[in-house]
This record gives sequence, C-alpha cells and structure tokens, in this order.
Amino acid sequence: MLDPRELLCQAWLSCADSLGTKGRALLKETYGTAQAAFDHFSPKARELVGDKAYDELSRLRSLGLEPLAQSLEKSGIKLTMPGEEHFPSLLTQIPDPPELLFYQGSLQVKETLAIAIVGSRRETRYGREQAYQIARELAAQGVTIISGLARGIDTAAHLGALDAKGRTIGILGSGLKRMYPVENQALADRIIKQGGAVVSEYAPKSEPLAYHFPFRNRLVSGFANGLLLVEAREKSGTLITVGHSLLQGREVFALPGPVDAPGSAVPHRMLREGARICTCARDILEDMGYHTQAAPEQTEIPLPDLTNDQRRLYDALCHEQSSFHQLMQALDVPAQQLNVLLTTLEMDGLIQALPGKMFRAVKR
Amino acid sequence: MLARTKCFALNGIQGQPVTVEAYVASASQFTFNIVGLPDAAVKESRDRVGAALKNSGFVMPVGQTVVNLSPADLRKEGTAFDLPIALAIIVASRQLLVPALDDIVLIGELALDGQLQPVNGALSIVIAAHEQGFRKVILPRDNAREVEVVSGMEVYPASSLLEVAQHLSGQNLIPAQEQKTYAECLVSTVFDMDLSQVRGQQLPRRALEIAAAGGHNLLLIGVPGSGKTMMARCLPGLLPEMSQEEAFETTRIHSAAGVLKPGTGLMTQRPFRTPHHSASLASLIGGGMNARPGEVSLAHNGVLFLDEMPEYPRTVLESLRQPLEDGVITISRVKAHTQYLSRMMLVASMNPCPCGYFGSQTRHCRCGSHDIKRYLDKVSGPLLDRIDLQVEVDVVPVEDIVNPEETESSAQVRARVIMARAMQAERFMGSEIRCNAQMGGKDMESLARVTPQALTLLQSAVKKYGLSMRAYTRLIKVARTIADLAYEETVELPAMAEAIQFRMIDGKYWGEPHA
Repeated sequence: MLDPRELLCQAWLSCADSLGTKGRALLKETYGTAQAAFDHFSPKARELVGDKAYDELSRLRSLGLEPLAQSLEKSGIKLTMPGEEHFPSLLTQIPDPPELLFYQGSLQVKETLAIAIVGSRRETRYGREQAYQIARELAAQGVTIISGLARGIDTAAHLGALDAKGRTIGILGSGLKRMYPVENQALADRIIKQGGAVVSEYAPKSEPLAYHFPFRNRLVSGFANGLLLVEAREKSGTLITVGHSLLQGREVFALPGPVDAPGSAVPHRMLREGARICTCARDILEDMGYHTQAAPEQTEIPLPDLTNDQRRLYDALCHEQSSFHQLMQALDVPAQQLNVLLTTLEMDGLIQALPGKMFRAVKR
Repeated sequence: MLARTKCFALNGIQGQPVTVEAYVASASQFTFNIVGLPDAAVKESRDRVGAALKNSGFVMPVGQTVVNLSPADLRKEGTAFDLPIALAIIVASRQLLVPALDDIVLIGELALDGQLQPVNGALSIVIAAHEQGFRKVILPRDNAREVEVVSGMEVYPASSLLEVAQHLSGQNLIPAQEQKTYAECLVSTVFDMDLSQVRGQQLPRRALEIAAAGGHNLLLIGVPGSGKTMMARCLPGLLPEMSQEEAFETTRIHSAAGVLKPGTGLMTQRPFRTPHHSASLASLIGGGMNARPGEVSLAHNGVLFLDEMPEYPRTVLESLRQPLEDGVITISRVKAHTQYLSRMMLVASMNPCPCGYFGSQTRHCRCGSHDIKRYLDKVSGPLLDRIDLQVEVDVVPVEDIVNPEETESSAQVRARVIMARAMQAERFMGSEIRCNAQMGGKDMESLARVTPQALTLLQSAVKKYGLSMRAYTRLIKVARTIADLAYEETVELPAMAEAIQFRMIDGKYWGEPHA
C-alpha cells in the first residue's frame, strides 16, 4: 500500500514548472523517494536541479502539503502513480511510464478491453462519422475508448462512446484546469459524469505547450490494448502515437478511406505495413479476442407507409447519396414538390440532409 | 426695411418651417450677417447670394444687412436657404415690389451666376410644406420632377433667381407644373439581370420567387462560382413596383441623403443596395454628424444585398439585427436625433467555408472542421435566425450550361409574385403590414390561417431541429407566402413542408457535428 503522502510529495515535484523530467529523476535518485526529497530538501539540491527549479521547489515547499491536498480535492483532482491501486496496470508495461497522473473521474480497477481511437484534427465528415460509429459500437460492448480530447477525430470518438452510455478516458497534454481546446470542457465534464476519466501527467495549471502533446501520445496508446487510426495526413502528430503503440507492443488498426483523400495516406500506408484493417467495430472485437456481449436481436423496423413518390425518393437514396439536382432529374418532379417529399421523409427520420444540399438514407 | 420669406429646414426627412427675415438699413459701413444657427453651408450662402444678386441684375445693399433664420434655435443645414435669403434681401432693399411672400415656399441653391441648383430633400420639404398649409412652392427645375406627384401643391420650377423675381413681381409668370398621377410615373424598366440568363438552379430560383413574393430575407450559401451574386441581382426584376406610399417613403430618404439623381422623378422601382464589405457602421446604419440615413434606410421597401456576408465586420452585421426586427432605425447624435424607416429585405450570399468548397461534389474542401466553424461563426446565430429562407447553391453541371433547358424569365416569375402580393394586400387591408414577412407575432395566427396538419408538422420540425420561437414564426410566414403563390386560402401541409426545407441549413453547417 502506497503512502498517500508520497503521492502529494510527487505532486509537489510535478507542480514546479521549471523542474523537468531529468531533474525529478535526479532528486528521486538522490533522496530515494519524493517524500524523502520533501522532508530532507536542503540547499544541496541546488546543485542538482539548478537555481530556478530550486527556488521554485522551496517556495512550493514552504506552502506545505496540506493546502496542495485541499486545492486538489476542491477541484476533484485525484492522484495516482505506479504502485497505487488505481494506477492502470497497462501503463506499468510501457517503456516510459508516468511518475504521477492527475485525474478527474474514476480509473477503474477492473480490467476491460480498452481501444484508443486517434486521428486528424482536420477530419472529414467520413472520418468523423466512422470514428463516432465505431466508438459507439465498441463502447456499447463495454470497451473503454481512449483518446486525446483534441478537436476532430478525438472528439468524435469520445462522443460516440458517451452516446452509447459507455466509458471513455481523455488524456490531456495540458493541466486539468487548463483545458485545451477550451470548447471541449463540456465534453470533458460529460466524460467524468458518465464514469470515465480525464487524465493528465501535468500539474493542473500547466499550459498546453507544444512539446507536451507528442509525449502525451505515449499515454494514449499506453492506456489501451489496441489503437485505431482514423484519417491522418503525412507528418501528422498521430504518427507519433502509432510509433508509441508499436513500441509498446499494442495492436494497430487502421480504417481505410477514399484513396484520393489526403487523410487516407497514413492509414493506407499502415495497412500496407501490416496494420490490421478495421471496417467496423466487430473487426476490432474479433481480432482482440473479445467476447462480445450478445447483441440484442436486430429487429427490422418496418418502414412507415409511404406514398409512391416518397418510396421512389427513399429507394433512390438507399442506393446512393444524391444532390437535390440529381434527385430532381431522377424523379422528374419540380423543385417545390421535391422539397415537400424531402421534408416529410426527413421528419420521419428516414433520410438525412448533408451540407451541399446532399441527401442520404439513414441506416436502419 | 424688413422682409420675410418662407422655407423649410430638414431634420432627417422631417421638414420644419423656417422664416427668413432680412433687415436692410443704411449705415456708413457695409456689413452682411446671417444669424439663427446656420451650419457651414448656410453661412457660405453669404458669398453665393452676394455674387448671384450682382449677376442677376440686382445689387447688394451697401449698408447693414442682417438675415435671421427663425426659429433661431433650430439648426439649419444645407444649401436650400440661398433662394429665400436672396429674395428677402431684394425685397427688403426695395429692389423689387412684390405683393405677398408669406404663402410661398422658396427653396433652391444659387450658383454665382444666379442659376438655381437642385437641393437635397426637396420631396420631404414639399410634403412638409403641404402639411403646414402651404399651397405654392418655387423650387429649382431639377427638383421639379421629384415632386410632380404631390397633390394639392402648385409647383413652380425655376431655373434662375431672375426668373423667380420676375415671377413674383408679376412681370413674367412661370407656368405651374402639371400634376401627375402615380400611375403616369410608372415606366417600364429594363433590368440588367434576368432569370432567363440563369441556367438550372431550380431550388434557388424557387427561393428567389418566394422571397420576392413575401418580402422575406434570403441567404444564399454555396461554392464559389455557383452564381449566388448573379441570382441575387435578378431580384429587382422579380419585385413589383412600389406603391405610391412606398415610393414617397423611399424617395424621401434617397432625396434627403442626396443620392437621387438630379432631374429624375419619384422612384418607382424598389431600391437594390449593395454596400461593399468594407462599409463602416455609420454608412450602413446611418449616422455621421448630421445623422444621415444609412444603407438600411436607403434600401427601405427594397433589397439590402450583402455579398460575401462573413467578410463584413461582426459589429456591422450585428447592428442589422434591430432594424431587421423593427423596420425603423433611430439615430442619435449630438447635433441631431432622427428616425428613418428601414423595412428592407436582407439578401446575403456566402461561401460555406474559407476555401469555399465544403459540401461540394466536384472539389475537395481543404478546411478542417474547426476552420469551417470559425468561418461560419462570423455570422451569429441571432442574425441567422432572422433570415427566413436559407438556400444552398451548387455549381450548375456543364451539360446544363451547354444545352440549356427552357428557363422562365424574370417577367414570368414576376407575374406570379404580383398575384401573390395582391393576395397579401387584400389580407392586410387597413393595416400597416404590406407583405407576409412583416406580419407581427400577435396577428399572425389569425392572418396566416395554418391548418392543424401543417401546424403539427411545424411543431415536430421545431422539436427535431431545436428551432427557436423566432424561427417558428418565420416558418409560418414563409409557408403563408408559398400558399399565396398557389392561391390557397389556408396553409396546407405541403406549403409548410416546403418552407421547412428552406430552414434546414442551421443544423447542417452551424450545428454540432453529431447533433
């Protein structure tokens, strides 16, 4: 059982911005534990960590551990580190495990399958919808979805898991109180509310610095048993996550995309180099040897009564998504009549309007 | 000796009577002063009047001359006071014997050679003069046609100070201008854009027709080169001519702003204003030192077209919200405080994203979802909410350009628009409302006559798409116009269904990706 005081002392070390990973390692090497470093902190440490870090550490030390513990508790921030009961066991297996994690929500003790879904921040509708759908189906099967709470694919993956009432974990490259991007704060709150967690290895008030993110990416893959790559352009930061995944011995899946889209470049290359193909959630579940909970029998929902024209329109859209112009030609009806047909089918939830006056049938 | 002439000062488009008093006395030194809160242009009339008098065969009195513009606490601006000042001086210095000047309104700017130049706001002055009980007015010839429809006024168009003097003294009478009816002013206009030039685009065509028929605000959103601007420019050709009342309102604003071409008559065609996106807040809304009307008022009874709407500064766009809702704008400045009507159709065009190709079927969009969001967010939700018809425009397939189908011309569509407007005129008889878009919340339920089925559909749409109360009422108005175009007494389900189709882009572009 780990002393809670050790956690707080470790947090004390993390809160000093000017102290880097190396400095922390040196201190722990010298003193043995973070607690020992706190208790026996002396000017001799100045030589180890330099003036700036030393001054900052001693200032923070003079405040004491109690206020630190209180402020963390007030924000609902909890701590864990290797050896502590909530520390994810998957993370202990990675080459570069975090010394300390700040988190809000709950890190489950019980192990389930966890899949990381990562991809471009400049996603396309295709990628967004697939990430959402796959995350949703996986979460419905009890899989935990891991992602980085960034814009684009990350957001879609978290949302998919949440909409399936599932569990998802977001890993930040900034402090928990410095949400980046800010518009995802509501998403983070939802994640916590639904039994997931938002995690960061940086002190709560750390800025989202550019170099945090590539380092953070090792945790995104480390938290999961497998990684799904959805859309990434060449030189994307997502490649770093894939690299970590391979180093950590995690399974890598890639979602194929249109061959002419820039976002398909990296997933397709990964597929050629041996990544597993993922076309639906079942692909991942089967390849990971996960026993799916018996899915409720899909009963065919009967179509509501449709008029002849509505039927023709619906059939046309089941075949292929089409523009208003194409539909006018295919059905040979005037614009005003087509408008009426489209609205009625849309209101019945049979079809969906897309940007560019495109329409498609809703999957049933 | 003392002499008085009558004229009017303008505050916005409201005319206020001003008496010009001239007092001429013998004195050893020459002095000439104008008092009574004149602005720079009025003060300068001192020099213009002096020169014009000499060049018209009169002389400037050698002694002391004082001109007072009464009421003395009212600010006076503009050049319309030249003529009444000159005449007051001529009469006061006994260079001309005239019976009575009290019942004649004089307006006009003087050139140095004594010719009369047109002034701004002539129509407003003549209307105000008529309201004040005046029945005769002498004004510059170039302003004459502007007021030819005002009934009950004897208008004497003059071209020089000498002509006015001779007319007043009875030596050489100017014939009064023949009064015209409004119908005689209506001339057939050739528009530079016609719908027959637009290929394909059935959906935007339909939106233009509905917008024109009901006076609805319209947003065209689409890829570059899809013809958004061209279609918007077809609107003047689809709109009916203004009624006499509307023509008066609009002409008065244009005349006061000085944008009416000299020598032209009453405006009969609806204005189509296209301010550039570098336009300032004051030029769009109105303002400046003397609270001049802005583009929203110049577009009164017509169209305000904002091309590439997200390029306009946010503050400028947001300032449109109040005039769009109220149809009137109050401008307050230190020196002036005035109201202008601003009941216009807002027509805007925009691209769906920074690169322009979001949602296009022919080209890839290069923008990330965040870039798109940031671009679209330049148009705020409240403003978007006030746009009744939102229509997506895509490029016309090449086959359709090469082998065009027979397309309707503006005149054909306009005929239907006029019929629909006739139905509205009957509906709104005896009220302030002129078209469906102007219906207010309280009288709408009774006026629109929506069937229960249509209302049920509307309510489920509101629920499904999370529409606002304002969107709800605006949908009823659009559906009412669609029914008018089909000569239907009540708003049936199909009309409502079509209206909803023109409201769907909020969620697709502005909504959450997964909503």
